[in-house]
Amino acid sequence: MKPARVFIHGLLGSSGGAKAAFFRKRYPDMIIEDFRGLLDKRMETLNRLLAEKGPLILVGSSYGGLMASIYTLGNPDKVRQVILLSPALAHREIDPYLEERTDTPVVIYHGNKDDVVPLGPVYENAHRVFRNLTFNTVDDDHVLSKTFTRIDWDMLLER
Amino acid sequence: MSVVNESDLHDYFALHRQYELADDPLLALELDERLSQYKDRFHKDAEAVLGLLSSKQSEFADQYENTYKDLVFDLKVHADTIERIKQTHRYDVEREMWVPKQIATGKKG
Repeated sequence: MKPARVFIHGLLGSSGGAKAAFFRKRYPDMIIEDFRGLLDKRMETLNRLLAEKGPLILVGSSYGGLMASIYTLGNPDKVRQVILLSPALAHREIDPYLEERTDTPVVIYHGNKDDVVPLGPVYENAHRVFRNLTFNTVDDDHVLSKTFTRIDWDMLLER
Repeated sequence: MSVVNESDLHDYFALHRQYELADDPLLALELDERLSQYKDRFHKDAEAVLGLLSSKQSEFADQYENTYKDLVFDLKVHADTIERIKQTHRYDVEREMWVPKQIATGKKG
């Protein structure tokens, strides 16, 4: 069964943002929703959205990366692949999940010039939780403006 | 002194309103990029911007409601994250990244 592809935007992002627009144009069937409010409310929206769907490929940006990580830890059998862009894995909200582990394949792109979610703690937490992790440190900032369109999305999203 | 002023915040909120109303995807993208530039500046000075937002809460919250709440939440999360990292990490200039603080194990004398 072909996996459903899902994009989860960041804290101040939306389904109309630049990354969402890129995915919508390139992968018209990609599920791109708006998430508002605090983490609990956003996770409630995500859980409802994906309740009847699977298998899944999740792409999460910043706070959406935190959401994708939490969802994957809670639903390891549903998620086939995760791609995280500057994931907010240094935020306090990840703490309750740091003792959990998953073998789901995870690919991370994180900029060495990220001032919003600094690289070091994200690197540590990601390696702690994800056993099957490819961590790409790139010469970029939080938005990954230089990196984002250069990623081989067809390869990552066609699994 | 903060490099962000009240006028920047008004500009950000006005831009965000334009962005929410934009029907043209290309225009939305352009506005999104401009919003990102504001957000970068706000993050660099999160505590000061939060102070500014708080001092003008009645004005901004009335006018911009959810956008105001989202921005305050984002900046609080960011400020909290950076503060937490400073407690457990130090910035390694050579590696250009935050690394865990060394635990002192040696004994004096």
